[in-house]
Amino acid sequence: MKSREEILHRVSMNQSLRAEHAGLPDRDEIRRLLTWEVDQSVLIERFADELQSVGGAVIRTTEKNIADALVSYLRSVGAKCVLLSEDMLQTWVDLRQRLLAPSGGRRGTVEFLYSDDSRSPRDPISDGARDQRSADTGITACEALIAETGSVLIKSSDIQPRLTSLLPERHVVIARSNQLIGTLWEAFALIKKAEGGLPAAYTLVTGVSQTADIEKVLVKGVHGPRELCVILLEG
Amino acid sequence: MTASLFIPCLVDLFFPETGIATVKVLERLGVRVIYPSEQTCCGQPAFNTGYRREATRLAVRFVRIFRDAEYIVAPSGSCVSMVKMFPELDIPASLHEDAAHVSSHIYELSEFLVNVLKTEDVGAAFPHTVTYHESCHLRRELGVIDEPRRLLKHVRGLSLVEMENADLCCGFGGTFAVKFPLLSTAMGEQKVRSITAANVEYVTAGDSGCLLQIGGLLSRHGIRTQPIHIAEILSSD
Amino acid sequence: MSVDLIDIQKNIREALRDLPLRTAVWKATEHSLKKREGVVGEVANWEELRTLAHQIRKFTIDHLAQYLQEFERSATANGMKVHWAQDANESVSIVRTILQQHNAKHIVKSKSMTTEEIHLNALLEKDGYSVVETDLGEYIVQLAGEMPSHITAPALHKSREAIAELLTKKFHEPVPSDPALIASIVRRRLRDLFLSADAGISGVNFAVAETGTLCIVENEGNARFTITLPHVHIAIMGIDKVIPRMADLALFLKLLPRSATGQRMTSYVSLISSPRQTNDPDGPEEIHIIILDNGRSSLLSDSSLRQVLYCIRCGACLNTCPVYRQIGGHAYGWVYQGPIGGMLAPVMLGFNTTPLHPYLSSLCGACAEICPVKIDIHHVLLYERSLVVAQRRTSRIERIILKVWAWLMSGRWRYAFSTRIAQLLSTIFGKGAKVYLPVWGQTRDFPPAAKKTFHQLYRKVRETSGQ
Repeated sequence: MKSREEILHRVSMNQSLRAEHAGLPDRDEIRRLLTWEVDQSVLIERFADELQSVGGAVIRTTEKNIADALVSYLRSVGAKCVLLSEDMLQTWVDLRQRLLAPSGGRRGTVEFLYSDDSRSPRDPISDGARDQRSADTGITACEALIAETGSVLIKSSDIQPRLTSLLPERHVVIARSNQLIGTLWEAFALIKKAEGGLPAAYTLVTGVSQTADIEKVLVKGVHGPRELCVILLEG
Repeated sequence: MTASLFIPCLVDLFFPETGIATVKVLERLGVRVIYPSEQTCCGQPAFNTGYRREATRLAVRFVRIFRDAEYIVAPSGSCVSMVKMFPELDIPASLHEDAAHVSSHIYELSEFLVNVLKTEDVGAAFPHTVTYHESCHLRRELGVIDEPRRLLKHVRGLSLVEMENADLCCGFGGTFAVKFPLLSTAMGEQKVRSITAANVEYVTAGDSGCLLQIGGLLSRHGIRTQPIHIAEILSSD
Repeated sequence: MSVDLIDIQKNIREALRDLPLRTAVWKATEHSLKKREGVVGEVANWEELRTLAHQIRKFTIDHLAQYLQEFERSATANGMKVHWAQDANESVSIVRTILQQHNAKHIVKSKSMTTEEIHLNALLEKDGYSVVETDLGEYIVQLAGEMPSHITAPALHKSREAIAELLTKKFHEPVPSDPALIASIVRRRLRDLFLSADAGISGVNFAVAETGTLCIVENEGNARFTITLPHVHIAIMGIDKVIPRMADLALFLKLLPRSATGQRMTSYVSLISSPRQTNDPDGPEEIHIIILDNGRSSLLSDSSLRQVLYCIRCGACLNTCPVYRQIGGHAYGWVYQGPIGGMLAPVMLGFNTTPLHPYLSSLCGACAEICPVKIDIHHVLLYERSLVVAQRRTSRIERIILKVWAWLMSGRWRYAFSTRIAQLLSTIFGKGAKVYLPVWGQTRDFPPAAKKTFHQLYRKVRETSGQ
């Protein structure tokens, strides 16, 4: 392709100016500057503090109590329609028993939608309403929780649509405490190590959607979720 | 110890008392002062406006005049910064060594007093309220931030008041001030607001260009604060 | 793309007269600086990070051809399509082709300076496409028909009342001046557009060569929508956006949010490596990456200008620039503003169109102090001034004055003569403690020349100090 060759030629031509080739700094040099001794015992506290400082919430509970914790949280925030994937129920069996009828349905005033079965917003309009759009809460798993910034690393996959954490006003993450890591550096190491190649999308979520475009006044929930909650399973 | 004095053109023509004060301070501390009288200009106005050929000419002249100096001292952060850039100019090879010597042995006054003479108390007395403006060259080219303040703190009777945004550019910028006069003025007025808020009798700095700009605005707006070069404070008794 | 001469002096005059603008710009930049101070102050090794970042950018730009090719290989292996565009026209033409192939008519865009640079919206709209900016600030300036006034805060120059008034007019519904209410009204409208868009166009913050990954950084979530919902995602990036490894991305993500918006991390960082994979339930089916030159490669040929390509577009230099803080972004006359704009303008728009841009600075150096990748910005501007002069783009009068001045300064007796003339003029035009000077004297007083210069006084000084 002509332009490709032209551009590369122009770029290469101008590179012979420099004789010195001080090497590209080693990964170790970067690691040295971006990591430090993290006190594992306070990792959870650090994560919780950071997440709260960016407008998120943390609920600490155990795997045994996950269903209770989730239901009570959903009730407390007045959630009406919750979007999640089938896979979440496989992961936490208790959830299925406590919450759900076989193909979604209601539990008290909360309606649960499976992302696998319901209609994605991009699908052509067939029968009924645009289901996923009516969800006010989306529940996802995650790859890691990063204490340094209070961030949640999620990835696209066959069992977790990217829209679950983006469309609804509220994003809930269910994570285990052993997914906690200290620094961003480690998150990137995790990304590199991931087997089977990179997913289409990783998203590093740090707090909620926000803008200060109008007079530098902070406004939450512009396009993405305005609430973020991490349910952290310990023990 | 001998110091060769470099007097910037602004000081020579408009603020000779700054030059006299500089001599006084140095001699009081036992430094023998030489003033090579053939000196004229460091070339900064030309250099900063993009006229490197003209600037180089003046740089060559400067290097020839000061090549044998043990130390060169100037009451100006911006001129000293300019001289330190001499090695980047197209100076004839025969003068490279001299240019290197000159640019590595030139100091702004407060830098010289604190870092070379290792003195912070120069025996001055100036019983007034003073605020200090950080000239951009002094701060960002020469890294001289603490030294002037330390010297001022030892001046008897002097009350040093920090203004807000002390390191904000006053808007002089040499030819910038006449190339973009209204913009330069707007920047200067911002500075004057900080100075006025400090409510002091004097504003001091290490560069006459800054004081020209600040003084010109203070005077035009009828504000009582007077500009004074730091050399003059340090030579007071 | 040819550009008319940008009338900087006129722009400055207008900006200085606009007091609401000046107040808005000063307040917003003050806010940004304070926020940045907080999150940078807590990083003990910030200076080391800057130095390392500079070294990595230097190496990358010095080996740009290699890294661009590596990126192309990786991205293509991941299933993304890579295109190359030499200039703005070509890049827009490539976009058109892709849109035509997909019968796309409604396009959503996330914030990208590069797309502003190539005037993408205007050109596509001329061909009948509908292109909607989805970043709140960009959406607002698009509706207003204006250019953004800051790299990271496009509507910085507008008060909430002005915004409410604008939206009320455009939406035909009353919009209150409360920022949260404005945002929720815009959210509702744009949500519909996201869901029906045929294509999404975004910029790129960093392109990782090692893995073929696009990194897009944001706070609102509109970029996530733009790059996830439509079937086609087109990402436009300058050749300077490529970085070698994921490890380098970790470093730049430490520097960028803190420098740009005073945050430890932006709300969302998307790392896009491929279109929707086999069983993925959502994501675009095709991703096209357009690698754009548009004058950047010419920066490579000059060893002093090369470092301009290190820029990671954080906008911190704008926030700290005392010139920008007085006149705002529009005065610079194009999409890149402040110190980075001053450096890029003559090279990308031509020295004949923007001979004054490198002079729009008092050389205070605050920009170089704040730049996370340690570009020696004010010295680059200084160097560009010498190029302006070498190309004879300064006025004849100025050249003559400078030459005469230099001549007068270069001889002891000539110098002495000129000081005597100055003293004479001072006596004639002076009134007591003041002298009226043209230009300067419009707004500032000026002292008279001393009765005796230091030169003239020196002998006397010798006598009084007893030597």
